[in-house]
Amino acid sequence: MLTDKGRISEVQLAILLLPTVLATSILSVPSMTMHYAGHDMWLSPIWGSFIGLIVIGISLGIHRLYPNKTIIQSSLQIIGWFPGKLFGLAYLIYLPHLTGLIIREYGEFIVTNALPRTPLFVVMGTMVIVCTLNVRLGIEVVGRTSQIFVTIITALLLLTFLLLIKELRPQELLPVFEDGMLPSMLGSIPPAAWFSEYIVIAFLLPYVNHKRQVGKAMIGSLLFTTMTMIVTNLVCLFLLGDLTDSFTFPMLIAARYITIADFLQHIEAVIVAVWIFGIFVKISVFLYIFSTTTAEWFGLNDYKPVVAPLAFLCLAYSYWVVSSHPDVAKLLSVSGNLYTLMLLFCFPALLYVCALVRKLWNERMKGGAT
Amino acid sequence: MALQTEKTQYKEKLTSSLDNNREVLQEVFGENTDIIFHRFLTGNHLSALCVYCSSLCDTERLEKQLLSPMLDGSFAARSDAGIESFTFVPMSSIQTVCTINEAILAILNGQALLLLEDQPMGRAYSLPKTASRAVEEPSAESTVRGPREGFTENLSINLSLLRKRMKTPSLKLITTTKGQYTNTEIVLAYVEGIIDPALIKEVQSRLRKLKLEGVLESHYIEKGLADEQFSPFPQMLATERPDVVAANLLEGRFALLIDGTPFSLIAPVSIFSMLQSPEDYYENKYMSLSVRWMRYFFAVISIMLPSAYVAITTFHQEMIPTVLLLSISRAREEIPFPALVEAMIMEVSFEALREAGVRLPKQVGAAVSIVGALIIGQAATSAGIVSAPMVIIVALTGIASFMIPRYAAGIVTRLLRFPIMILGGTLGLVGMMLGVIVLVIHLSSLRSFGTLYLSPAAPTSAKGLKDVRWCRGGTSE
Amino acid sequence: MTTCKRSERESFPVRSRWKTAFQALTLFSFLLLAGCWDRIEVNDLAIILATGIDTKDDQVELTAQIFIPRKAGSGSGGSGSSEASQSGVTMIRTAVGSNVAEAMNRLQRKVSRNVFWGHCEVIVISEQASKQGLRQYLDFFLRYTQIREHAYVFSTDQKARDMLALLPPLERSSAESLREMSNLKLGTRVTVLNLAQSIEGPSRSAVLSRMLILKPASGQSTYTSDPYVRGLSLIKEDRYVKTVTEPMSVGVLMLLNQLNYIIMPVEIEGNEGNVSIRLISMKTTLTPAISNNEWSMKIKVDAKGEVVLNTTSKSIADPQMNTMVEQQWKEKLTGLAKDALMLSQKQLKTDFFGFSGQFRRHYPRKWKAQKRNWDEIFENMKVEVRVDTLITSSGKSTYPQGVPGQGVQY
Repeated sequence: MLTDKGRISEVQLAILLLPTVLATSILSVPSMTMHYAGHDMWLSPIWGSFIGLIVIGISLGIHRLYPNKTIIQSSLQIIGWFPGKLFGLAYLIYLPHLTGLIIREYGEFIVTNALPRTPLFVVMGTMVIVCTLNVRLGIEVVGRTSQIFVTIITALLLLTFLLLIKELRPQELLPVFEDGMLPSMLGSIPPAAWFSEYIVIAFLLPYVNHKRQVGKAMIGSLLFTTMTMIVTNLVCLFLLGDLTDSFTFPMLIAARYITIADFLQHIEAVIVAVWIFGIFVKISVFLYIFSTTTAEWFGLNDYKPVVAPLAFLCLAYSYWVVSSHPDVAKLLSVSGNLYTLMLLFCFPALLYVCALVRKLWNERMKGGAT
Repeated sequence: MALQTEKTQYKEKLTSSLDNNREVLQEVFGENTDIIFHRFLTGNHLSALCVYCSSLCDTERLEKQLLSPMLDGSFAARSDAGIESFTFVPMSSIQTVCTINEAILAILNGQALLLLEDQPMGRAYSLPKTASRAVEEPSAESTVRGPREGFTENLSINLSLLRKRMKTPSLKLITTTKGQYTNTEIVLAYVEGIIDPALIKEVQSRLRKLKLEGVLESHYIEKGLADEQFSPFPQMLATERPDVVAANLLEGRFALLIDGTPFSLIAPVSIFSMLQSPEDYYENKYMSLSVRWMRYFFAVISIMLPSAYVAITTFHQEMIPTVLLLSISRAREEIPFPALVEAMIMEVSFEALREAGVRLPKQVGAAVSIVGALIIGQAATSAGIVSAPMVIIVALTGIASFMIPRYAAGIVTRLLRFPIMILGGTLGLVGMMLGVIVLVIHLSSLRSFGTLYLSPAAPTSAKGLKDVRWCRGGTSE
Repeated sequence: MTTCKRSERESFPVRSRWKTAFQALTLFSFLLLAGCWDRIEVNDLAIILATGIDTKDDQVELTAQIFIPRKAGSGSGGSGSSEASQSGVTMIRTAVGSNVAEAMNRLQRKVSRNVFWGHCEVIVISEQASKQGLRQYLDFFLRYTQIREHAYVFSTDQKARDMLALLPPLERSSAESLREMSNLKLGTRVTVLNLAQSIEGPSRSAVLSRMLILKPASGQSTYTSDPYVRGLSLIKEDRYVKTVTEPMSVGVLMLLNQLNYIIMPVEIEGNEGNVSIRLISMKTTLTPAISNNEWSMKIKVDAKGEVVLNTTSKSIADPQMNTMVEQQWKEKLTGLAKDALMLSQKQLKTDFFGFSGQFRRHYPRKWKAQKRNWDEIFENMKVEVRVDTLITSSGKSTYPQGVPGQGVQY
């Protein structure tokens, strides 16, 4: 029994996932991958996208075995009531962490780059209120707003890239594989953590109305995100060269560097807009998942009453998770990535394995009986 | 045509006693001096009563076409007494009336009611006094190219304008009456075969549920039928152009024509219909394409420009090109107000000026605009109360809001400007973006008769978007 | 007047939604009413157009050129506009500190408005200051949020402070003159980001345009003047090492692929007078090669020019003459390039032209292995310079003009 009656199309789901994955990655991934992968950082998203592919496979697989159930609901059937509830509890604990971290990341970014004297609470609070409004209106509205914003984000990013063309130096691409393949593989860990966020489809698949096409749409979405990451990394590399990893947000520096005819300059606001719109969708998606998961876990009929309290909880978490901006960076770069991969990749993978084993077992039993 | 009223107390039938009927009617109308009870004997010696409203009926025609043939000798020669004899009256619009209620409505509609002794029914003859304005060019929606006819306050003229454009039996016109006291006729128009039958059912059920005391303008209906009560966005399209109504009927929408107002309502609509002008379909494709895109652009401008100016000049000065910033800083040097207050002053006074210009008689209106232009444009800047860039911004937003072809949608942009301006003035561009996000959330949850307000942009439909981006010929498909 | 009544069943969700919206609005307005923390009116800004860096007894002397909005606005008043422009639209403020951040902090104390660096598009660093190392400045410029990465960097052998104090008669401010000159590509066009890249990159060096102050015309005040480009300042590691002026600077610019606007006189052997060639375009490509562990570099220069002056007696239209001019020009350019290479390889032992980057790109493995010996390799590297010249146009005239009696000759 689902806690929201709304349904979205498979294309809407695919579009919904774009900012969910890209919003935060556009800004911080270039620097992080560069840190490990050096000049080959533009290759890293390709390796990372395999994680995305596997995660999509897992979600679709579980959903195929247990149709019209979210991962939380199907876990009860796969591994039994008590372990299933524990599994759900893990997500109940993890999701506010993740959402809080995203909110905090947004707050830190805005406070350092746009509104240095505004209290963090106001910046994060306003965003959380807006997201709460969005989530309360249901998955359909979340899907539609994401469609609008993805269009705007794509246009703005394209604009930024186009305006930068003059300043790009493609020769920075060389040398390729300066230290072999390994660095680019290592560098794929941060993008992989982002790609593992594709697991949200395991929570959202029951709300999709044309299930046949979902696979195709997801692959399209994955291709798009990978492409965007590669292009972003390339633009940063071509513009900033080896300095890319010395900046916190290389893409922001890139946008600031634009100067066209002494008139169009310093358009980092465009990137800030991309960030705000993207993060809005991202927070909404995670808040939505958090709310529905909570509602499902407690067996509520409707998720809407829990949205506002949970949003406030996430806001509180955003203070508890980390204490300062360098902390955010630290958490995002090493431990955070492993933590994320653990819950967004390993747990669902284990669940899928259990589901497959169970299915085989059932078939064997049936075969034995007859 | 079946008439209904809100009141149900006069349900009883007309009796065969003429005196009885007369007493009931006289009791209903009481001391009204314009209701005339005319008793006479017809040519074949039947006792008859003619009741009519002298302010609505054309008395000259009544005498000539109804009373004189009845009193006439030729009529007298006819032996067959009874209600059938009335068919010899040389008039086409005749209605049989059976209940008191129908009788009252017929009289109030300007019909002359004829009752006979021993007949439990009456006849209503339509003899309207045509006190209506001629068909003129619609003043609120003028076009350069395209039909010049606009609806008038008279429903039957409006219906004829519509029928004239759509000569098909599929065009259905269904009349209902709304308003406990006004008893206003409302005609639901749609094209059978094009429109979704479920939509018609929905509209009819909503109309049935609607309880109103009076309907003086189309907005009374619009307000009652809207999906979302608290949205500033118009959820039905008000137009006074029959060609717009016809085009929309052909696209599967329905229209409500309301007696007493030249504005008819069209639904379901999306936000894009608010930004379309009928002329888009009458002009060269490329021309209207560019004009339409310009309109979209200026619609955004009219909501965002003042707030963007405030946000950028008070929060993100690095975004302004250096030379421009220097001239803005020069212009603002003597200004005592913060940019937000300055913008508020200017926007509010612009709105005041516009409102004054609309309400005043035409001759005075020109004077107001001259004074306003002088005060706002010239004197205020040279006195150092507002800066010149702000005047430009306000003027540009003003022009932009006038570019929106639908008046109701233009009002919304003017209304939304203020909250977004406050957001932009307190949180800079971040605040503005938040405002935009809230706006988008609202728009994506809004529906007009079940159709999403943002369609076909979200949820995306390629075919629908083609019409938004380009201009699909309104009638060519 | 008339009201719309809705049935109870319908009115309930509407009312609750209205309530939610109202609550959200109240919350929102609480957040907003608490204040506008970052709001700074343009009136409260001291817009800095240019920054100058000098040193004063081991301390950093930071100079800011600040725009004065009031004086510039004299146009609308309609009186004394000429006088106002004389007195200038900019002013300077200077502060001294143990490092650049401290100096900046002290600078704010001397200005009554919020110092705003977001429009500082020009940074002038005196050679005195760059002798002590550019590192702290670069770190500050790339870290402090307001400062633009796209700001142009110049070097001067005078005091940067004096350069910013100038009130050029033509432009609004000396910052604008400097920026426009940079856009004309009279010297090198180096932004803060470029500077950081080339210092932090494998070549560990940079080249900046060197600006001087033009002597004001007689009768004008000392400050009514312009900066002008004269030569280049060479930076090794992060310190200033040497100034080069013409003709050496031409060679350096040529190898940097940044030579743009120049007219060169070329002597023709066996002829009196010379031919002056205006450079139309020049492209320099570096091709590294490693064979038998011997590192070498091929430099190919493609130059296209137009004759603007011919004081010889021969016609440029004459193919023989044309080849000769091209040949001579080629030799001249080759000579300039060789001189510049000499300076770079032998004298300063610094890789100004980005050879190392080329080797890194084309031979990543070998580069990695030999990275430590780079200085040695570079010093002894064989460099081959190949210049191709082409005269594309002889201007409006064909035969030499102004030769007495020339017209009668034929």
